[in-house]
Amino acid sequence: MKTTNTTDEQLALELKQGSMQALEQLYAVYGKPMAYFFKRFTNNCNEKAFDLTQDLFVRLVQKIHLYDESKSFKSWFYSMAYNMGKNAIRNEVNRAELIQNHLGHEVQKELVLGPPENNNLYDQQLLKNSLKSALKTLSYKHRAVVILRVKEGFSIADIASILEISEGTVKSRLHYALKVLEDLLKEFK
Amino acid sequence: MNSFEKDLEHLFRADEQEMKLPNSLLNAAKQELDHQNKQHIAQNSFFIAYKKPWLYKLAAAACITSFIYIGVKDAAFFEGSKHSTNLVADSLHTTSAFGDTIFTADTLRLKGF
Repeated sequence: MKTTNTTDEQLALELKQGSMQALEQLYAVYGKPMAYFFKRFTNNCNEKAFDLTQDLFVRLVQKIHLYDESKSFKSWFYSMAYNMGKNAIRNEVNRAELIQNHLGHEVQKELVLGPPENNNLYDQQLLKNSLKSALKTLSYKHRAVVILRVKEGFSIADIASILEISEGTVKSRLHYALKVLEDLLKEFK
Repeated sequence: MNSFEKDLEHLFRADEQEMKLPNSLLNAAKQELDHQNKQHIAQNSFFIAYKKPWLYKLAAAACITSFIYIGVKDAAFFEGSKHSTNLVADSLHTTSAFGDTIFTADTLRLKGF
């Protein structure tokens, strides 16, 4: 396990040098939070979140040489995760559009990006959970800001850096998302 | 953080706690790292063989540009391009280092190697 004296940045440096132990320690720290981030950010089931997490750690090994140790590893790693999640969402939307175009089925973009209209298309388990349902009403951009801020405790500046947007946009998205969630979660209390 | 944000944070954390990660999730990354490590060892051994100044002189005399190119490229991978190009330049008794650019075999050929 990670010792108190070993920072993520040191572990990243060790991983650069090929340390298997550093990889395992980083996984011990980030494995579950990343899987959860993918699950909530992409609005997916556990299995898809696990697939993305697995791919993320493979990518970490492949791209670790690009990491600059003078910067926060956590921010760098979440930036990588955000981009992977964003691509996964886009691929899912594209696939849904393809199916809709070719088969004429009512496969909705909202499966990934927006509010539910046809509950049959949704995982019933998700509807049982107020948080999951509330998060679904937000766009992925708003979800990302909320999770990074509230769950992961990133600063506004860090989130702006991870998402490559301005701090003003982060604040605006956060304000909107929290207001929507607060309104929706009241109903579940 | 206001009280709602704190509640939300607790909700997130409780939700995350319910997730059970499969044991095999890190296997692919471990395999990738193992593969990379083996590759580095192989390349390092290769580089040690190439890190002989007399070999570069011989290669230059015989106009074997590909040997010089591989040496430069391989050395750059491990020790940085400046060191590697200087190594080759020193080996060949040239007064000017190649700089930080990794040259292609064609460029080296143009330079008379």
